[in-house]
Amino acid sequence: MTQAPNAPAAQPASPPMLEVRRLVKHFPVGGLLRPRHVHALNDVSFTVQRGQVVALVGESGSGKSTTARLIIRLVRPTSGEIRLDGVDVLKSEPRKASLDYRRRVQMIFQDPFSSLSPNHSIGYQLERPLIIHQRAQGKAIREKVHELLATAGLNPPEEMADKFPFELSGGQRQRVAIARALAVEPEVILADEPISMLDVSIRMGVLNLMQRLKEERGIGFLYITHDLASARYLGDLTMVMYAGHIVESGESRELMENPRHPYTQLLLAAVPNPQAGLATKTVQARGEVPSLIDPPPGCPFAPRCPQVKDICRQAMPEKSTVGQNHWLRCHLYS
Amino acid sequence: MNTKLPTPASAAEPILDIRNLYVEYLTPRGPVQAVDGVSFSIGRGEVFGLAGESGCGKSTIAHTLLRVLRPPAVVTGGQILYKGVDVLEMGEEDLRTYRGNYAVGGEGQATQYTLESFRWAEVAMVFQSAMNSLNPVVRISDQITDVVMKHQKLNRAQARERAAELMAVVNIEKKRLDAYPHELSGGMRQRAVIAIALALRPSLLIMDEPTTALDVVVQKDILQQIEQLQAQLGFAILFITHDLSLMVEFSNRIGIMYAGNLVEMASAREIFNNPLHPYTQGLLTSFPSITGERKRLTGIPGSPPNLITPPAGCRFHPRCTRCQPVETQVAPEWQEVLPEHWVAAHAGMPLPDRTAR
Repeated sequence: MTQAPNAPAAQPASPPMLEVRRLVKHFPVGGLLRPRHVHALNDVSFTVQRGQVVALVGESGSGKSTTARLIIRLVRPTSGEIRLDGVDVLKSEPRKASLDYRRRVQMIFQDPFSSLSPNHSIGYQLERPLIIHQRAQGKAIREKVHELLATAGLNPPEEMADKFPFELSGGQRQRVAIARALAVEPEVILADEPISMLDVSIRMGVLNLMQRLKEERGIGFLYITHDLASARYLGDLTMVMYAGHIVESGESRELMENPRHPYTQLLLAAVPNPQAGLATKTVQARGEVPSLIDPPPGCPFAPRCPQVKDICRQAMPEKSTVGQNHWLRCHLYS
Repeated sequence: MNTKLPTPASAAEPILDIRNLYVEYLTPRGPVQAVDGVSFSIGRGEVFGLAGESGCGKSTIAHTLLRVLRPPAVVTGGQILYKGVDVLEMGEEDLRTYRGNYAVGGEGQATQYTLESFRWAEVAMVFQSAMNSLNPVVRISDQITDVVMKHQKLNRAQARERAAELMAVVNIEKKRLDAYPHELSGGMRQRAVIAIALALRPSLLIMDEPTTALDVVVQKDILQQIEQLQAQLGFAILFITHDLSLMVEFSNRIGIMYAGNLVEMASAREIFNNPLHPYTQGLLTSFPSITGERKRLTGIPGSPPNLITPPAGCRFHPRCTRCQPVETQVAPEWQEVLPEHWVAAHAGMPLPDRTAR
């Protein structure tokens, strides 16, 4: 594989495969008399094309996983639309349409130790989606399971199918989780921190597997991570999330070389860089992500922002475009 | 496997000198050889990084050093010399009265202590998860005063004053002193843990994945703070992490561990610029960079071995891309191939000519 990762996305002109429009999620917390809300997600819109990896980066609590859980329909959004090939999936018929949607959109979770059932063999866990979604019958099921294991790099497949999760390493388990997602031939895979629990030396193997699936099968990925370097490695586009808002979005390389939003700049300055050394770049903004319970108006980053202006505390900035496919929400640019 | 002991890095007497340490976990399926003949030393005021994947033995070394290993873990060989005294030989009583017996001057306050502990007063530890190392139902102030009152002759008011001082050192506002751990953010909790570790002015601070659970911005903030504190107070640090890029940034010298063995040891710069062991080279190609060309990276094929039946010869050989037949039979030898650059190498390994430099 000589081709560098992050080749341009397959067909940027085609209509978006997965589209999220103005997605909002408020979780109620606290008392009956004075109900309060955690504003987990505020007005999030983006698209994922066929054969495109969109990376969603942010700190813990920024709303990355909530986004994935809304798209996979584990949780209902407060408002907003989720469209797959133009069809609003939240409005569509429950049972049958929902089965179809769940086939086309699959998820890989962070922790491969808890996302597989410890009581069943790997083969059994891969058969289940094939049977439920009627992807194979009779003898073909076994063959398909072996094919999936081989695709995910679990060799020899005949042996792997008979193993149980406890016999596998973390990296192998995550490959099983990927094989399970692939069983139903999905069009979109939501990967929520798929490598953060894995050992360093086997992370690249899993990232490269995702890269290959994107290139060979045209699967679109939403790659959720807190690691900017891996977002740059795998993501065609990168979106930076802060306190439930997407604050900046652009082509990964352009975004990381030319970060405009003060928060993106802060994140990039904080990434360990062996070339530079710890003392070279001082982190200017101290503090942490603010409370998301009924937050005050204005930009959520204002309390930490080194370049804060009066307007920042009054209104959330609108989108400003600063380059091809590169936009942000910051009053410095509006 | 280590037939030759490395000489201390600095010409001065090292604060910690681990010699040929062996630790095993006894399990029903056989002993797990978690630490297999590891030797290294840490100089005064030095930051020594110990890097490796989970299960390579780096945390076991830290626990052995503090003598907090519990059965089924047993030390089966070696010495841990702290300021010249073997920690493994200390009785429980000695551990608590270490400072009384072997008082070390030059620290200013040493003489006013009578019943000191080796743990905490000399070597303190910061664990990975602050939430698990703080007591959730005790106020932060009490958790600090407990430590200083137990080890120093201070009354409650003085101890509280000391607690406030310590909180100021790690940039936590004084009004947060009486907070419970759940009222603090993750970063503040980890800072409180660091404050408690530094309460008795230890000479060596062990940090086991201190920032792994934190976000990058908070991580950077805390590490910069530790660097400043270290410059002021002059303690040495044993820094344990799997994040090699963070380690290269933060440490003076680095030891790379694989499956219970130390496979390479050199200055941080040297490890980053001139790695010699195939495992170190593999690790360095296992994480993408935030700058420069985007190259396809390969990582290391396979996964770490089971340490009940480790591979014969070099433990890395099943995953090694440059494996030679000799490696599957004969354990490599720990040797200094360049000044201050140690590597576990076998006879056939291409090595730089020492005299050429």
